Amino acid sequence: MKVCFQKGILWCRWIPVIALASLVGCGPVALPERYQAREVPVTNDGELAYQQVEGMNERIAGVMKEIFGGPGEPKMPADAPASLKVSAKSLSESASLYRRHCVHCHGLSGAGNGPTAPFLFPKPRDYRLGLYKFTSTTADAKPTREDLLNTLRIGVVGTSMPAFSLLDEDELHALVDYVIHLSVRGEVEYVVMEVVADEDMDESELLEIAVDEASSEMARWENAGDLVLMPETPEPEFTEASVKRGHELFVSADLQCAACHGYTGRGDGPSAEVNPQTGQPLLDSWSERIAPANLTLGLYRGGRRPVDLYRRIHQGIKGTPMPVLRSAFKNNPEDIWHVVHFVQAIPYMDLDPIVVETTPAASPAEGD
Amino acid sequence: MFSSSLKKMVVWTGMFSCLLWIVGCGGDSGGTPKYATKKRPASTESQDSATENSSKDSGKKAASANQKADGWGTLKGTITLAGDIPTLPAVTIEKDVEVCKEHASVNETLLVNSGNRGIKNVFVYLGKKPDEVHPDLVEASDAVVDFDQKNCVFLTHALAMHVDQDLNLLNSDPVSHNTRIQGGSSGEANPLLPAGADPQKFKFNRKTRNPVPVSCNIHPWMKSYVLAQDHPYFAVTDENGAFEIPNLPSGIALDLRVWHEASGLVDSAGGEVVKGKWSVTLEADVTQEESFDIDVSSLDVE
Repeated sequence: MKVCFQKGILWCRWIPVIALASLVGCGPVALPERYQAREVPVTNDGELAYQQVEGMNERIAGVMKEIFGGPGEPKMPADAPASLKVSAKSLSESASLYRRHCVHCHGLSGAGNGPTAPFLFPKPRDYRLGLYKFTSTTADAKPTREDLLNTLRIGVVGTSMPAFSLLDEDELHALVDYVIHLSVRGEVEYVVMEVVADEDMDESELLEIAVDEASSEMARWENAGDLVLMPETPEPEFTEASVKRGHELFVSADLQCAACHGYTGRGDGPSAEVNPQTGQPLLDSWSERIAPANLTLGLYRGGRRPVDLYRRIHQGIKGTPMPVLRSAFKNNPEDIWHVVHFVQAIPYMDLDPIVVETTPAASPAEGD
Repeated sequence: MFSSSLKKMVVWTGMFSCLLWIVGCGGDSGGTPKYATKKRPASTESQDSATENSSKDSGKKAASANQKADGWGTLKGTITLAGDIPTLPAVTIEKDVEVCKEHASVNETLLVNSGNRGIKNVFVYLGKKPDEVHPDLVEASDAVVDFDQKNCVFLTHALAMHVDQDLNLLNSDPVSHNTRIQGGSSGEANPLLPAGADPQKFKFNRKTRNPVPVSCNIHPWMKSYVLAQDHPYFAVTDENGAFEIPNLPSGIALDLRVWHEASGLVDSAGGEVVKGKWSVTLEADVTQEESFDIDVSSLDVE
């Protein structure tokens, strides 16, 4: 060392510096005090929903921070029901867990825009709409905590969402706490954004609107448990006759399953094509392209238990073109199970599209 | 000799660590809020500007709030098209042809009256709930609104309603439809309505800022728009392009909004309406006529 200084070799000076730098390393990245400003939504016509006004993002961020804190110190509104935060971990710890496991896809504010997101299809969920596709609840209800836990435990098969089954139960609950936090926050933020864009209000009025909105959103989360759909009839035995009945219903004019999923269940029905009127493919409520499930794969994103399929058919899939089919079964609720059985059988059947298409479509009213 | 080297070393070390500190760990310092490394200074700055802005805004607000409505007035008018009336391509019907072809082939994206050039299905509505609503209109919002479809056409192509009203989703066709209402966080629904289905109720969670689309995935040409407001001041133009909104607050500047599906927020040819915003002040007990043209070039029609 001494030699090195005496000879005045310049680079020698850097040795301690480099040593120090390597000791310091890449410590924790300082978190921003607030979430990234939300982009102005684009309407269905491809136009911006409103014009950005100067200072608007700062006003929105100010109100949001007041109620929900920032990524470093997130908090729920003062009147949050206890059922929305179950984990023993604080919300800050939950947020930290979220940043370790989820942020790279779902983004810091839960906008589904993490650094990995552009490379994924389907896109990671944007929580801010408050819409979740795979739930046990009715079409207009929020998911239950158990629904979100299930998604974490088993992942979403056929997508980039992995199973987080190696995390312990409290960590899973912590992540659900934080996802609910981001979801409520996102929905309130949207309303605040609309109000700021349209109305001339002072900060206290704005805050009041945001707090009210948060309360009604949180109430919907809290009530989700009361809106779980239980099968109307017990599942009949899985028989060939049941599968056959399901097939008839699947291709029937009433149910119109084949319009999107195709006669062989490959997801290639006529309605799955680009809409000749608008030039657009099928879109979901996040304005992302969505394809009807290819049922020949036997991959069921919302779970493969018969009751999962039953709920997908009975109450549809939120935010997607998959409709609530309940009213088609008003006379024969048990028929839903037959369709479930057929869907379960599709991967193992050799369906001939030509034969099926020439068969007159059976109507459930005429059947049985 | 050694001590001066040591001093230099300490100075260099200090300078370099400062540099590291500022640059951060490979983070960009482009000033974007995401993962900003300079935590405190940046945020206090934005915080300051936020409070500054808000105080400005509240000052403006105070000025406008002092003006109170002095009564009630009625706004009526006609919205007409300037320029050649475009001929839209007919809708291609490939499904349930026997049921659908009779009516569904009319392209409803832009309906212009060839006689008086009036544009049908333009939404005109107050952008925000006024402080006071005319007593006659407070009660009027309980009725259920029917939303029906026949011959693969939504019978109400443009529907304005109060957010407290229920939509009654019906199907008068012998074929199945799914009525997909995409209100985003204002409320979503997508019931399948087979022939003879029981009516399905739907209610929005909150008002929609602008009209939201309703479609049917089984018959992809079917389209409609629904607007739900938290006040009773809205109208949709008829086949003559005429609209009327009665009993609006008078004596204050009203911020109306004008929306049509072929343009989204409307820009009028004469500049009265810019990006959908239309400012009108009414006199008490007077029916005021305000009409304007929309230039065909501002509409997105092929």
